[in-house]
Amino acid sequence: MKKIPKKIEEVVFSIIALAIAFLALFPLIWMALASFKTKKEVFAVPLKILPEKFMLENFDAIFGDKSISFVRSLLVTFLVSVIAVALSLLINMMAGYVFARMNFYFKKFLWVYCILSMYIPAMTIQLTSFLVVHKLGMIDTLGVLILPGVASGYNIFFFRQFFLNIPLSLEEAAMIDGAGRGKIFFSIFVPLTKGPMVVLGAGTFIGYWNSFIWPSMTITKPEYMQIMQIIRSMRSVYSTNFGAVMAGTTIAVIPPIILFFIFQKHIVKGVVLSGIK
Amino acid sequence: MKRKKHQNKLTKIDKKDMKTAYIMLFPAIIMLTIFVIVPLVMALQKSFYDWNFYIDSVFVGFDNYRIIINTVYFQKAVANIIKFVVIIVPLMIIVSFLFANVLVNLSKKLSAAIRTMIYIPGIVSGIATSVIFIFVLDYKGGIVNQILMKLGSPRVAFLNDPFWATIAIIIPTIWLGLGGNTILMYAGLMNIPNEYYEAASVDGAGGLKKMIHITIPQLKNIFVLMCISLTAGTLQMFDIPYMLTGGGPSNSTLTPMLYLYNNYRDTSKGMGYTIAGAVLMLILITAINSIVFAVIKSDKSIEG
Repeated sequence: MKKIPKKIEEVVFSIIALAIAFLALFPLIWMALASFKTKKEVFAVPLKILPEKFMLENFDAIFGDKSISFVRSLLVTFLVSVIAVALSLLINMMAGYVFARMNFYFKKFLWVYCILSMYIPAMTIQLTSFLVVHKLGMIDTLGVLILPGVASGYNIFFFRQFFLNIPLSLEEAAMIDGAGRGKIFFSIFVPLTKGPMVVLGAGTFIGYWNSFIWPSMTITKPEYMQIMQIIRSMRSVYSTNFGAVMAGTTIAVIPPIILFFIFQKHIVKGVVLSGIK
Repeated sequence: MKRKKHQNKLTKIDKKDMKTAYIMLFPAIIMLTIFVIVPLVMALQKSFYDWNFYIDSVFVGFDNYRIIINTVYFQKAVANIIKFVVIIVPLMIIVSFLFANVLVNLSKKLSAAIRTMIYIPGIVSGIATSVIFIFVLDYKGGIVNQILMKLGSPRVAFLNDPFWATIAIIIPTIWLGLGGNTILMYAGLMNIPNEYYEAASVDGAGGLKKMIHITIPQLKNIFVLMCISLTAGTLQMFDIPYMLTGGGPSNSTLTPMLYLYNNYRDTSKGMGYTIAGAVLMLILITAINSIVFAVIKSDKSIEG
């Protein structure tokens, strides 16, 4: 007798959960559908859920529009994000390793220095960061897009935690064989660190891909415009053609979503770890 | 525990190693210095000067702080952000808690699939999210208003009315954060040993009683952490009000970050008091963050 209510309970919960999942995905589905609709269909009253025919004119319009250089922006944003991920992994992993395994003067001070940086809100240092990169002559360069976010106290912290859990015996053996620190780091530690690298790399990529405020303060050259800047300006340029705006936005959100699906398992685990630690 | 022994004593090998250590640490330290620490020190310093891009600096003591505190727009922005924090933080915690409780009752496969699905909005940028919601909430042809009409209710001008504009900003914010927070809650729930519930069942406790006496106390740390990180995040809210309402109507959705950003762009204005506003936000957010340290008892994070 007791088993039946349990079953019903599970069915009810399943329905609720599926409904919420549907609501979560619906805005994205609706956006994607709109990008195939004609101007009339997009805001049709009564609603048209599916377009009469899936047409590609909206995509043609944004790809062909010379004034917004959409494709170029996708490529530049991708390039910036990938370089940033590579640099950020290298720099923060090295720092995490040093803090986990080596002793040197001022270690504690430097550790606090790195960790405190993660608690400084972006909004406080935005303007003065701008003044700094302006002084350095970095305005309108790829460097200004890539470098400022590369070193991260949070990532250093995360890598250090991970390295602390690797048994010391691993490198002691290598040391007896006469391997130097550099060799130990690159040939023993880096290969062991795939999991955290995926989690933090994906996070860095998504952060760079989605960034808006910093590029909008430092980039005015059309050829370096980041994709979210383009989306922002499309919203005003195409204010009467929402299908085109939706087509652009659909393309702009796809790369991080693909990335998420590729590394899904690691990322979800990472969310949990970073939250619980 | 092993590494404790090594600490604070620099052996010979360590000295030889030290150069390597500094070299490997150098890129991170130099970058953090240029792009975080120097701007921070500059912000602190410049908040005491009257200056902008065209005039020389004059030391004015705490004048900038007095000006910014008395600036109506800044006051409004701070009041707004407190309103957003007070609504968004509890709402997110309650919804993700309830949803996580639904998820633990599902079959393993279904729950994994749903966790994947709900995580996707969290990857979408604030700018893209705003564009999507401008479309969904459109007055005439937007799907939300069309559904409302079908249900016999009048249309809602989401972005033109202070009350509805606030709602229009809260909805996408929840949408963006729900997945990640639910997954955290879910992980917390899975960490509670099953024996606790079994023991309670033997004592004849019902579902609600179990939730109050077992689930909620066991999740205390997650609640506190989530509360603090959501608060710190919400205080910096920018993308969605910037795109969706531009802070309007009549500044009802103006946030501190949006206010600062607009001031930065207006180079004719004095920058000193704007920076002072940014420093005040730093103090507020730092105060909140230091609670995190208290909660996780600082030992894990600060100890070198």
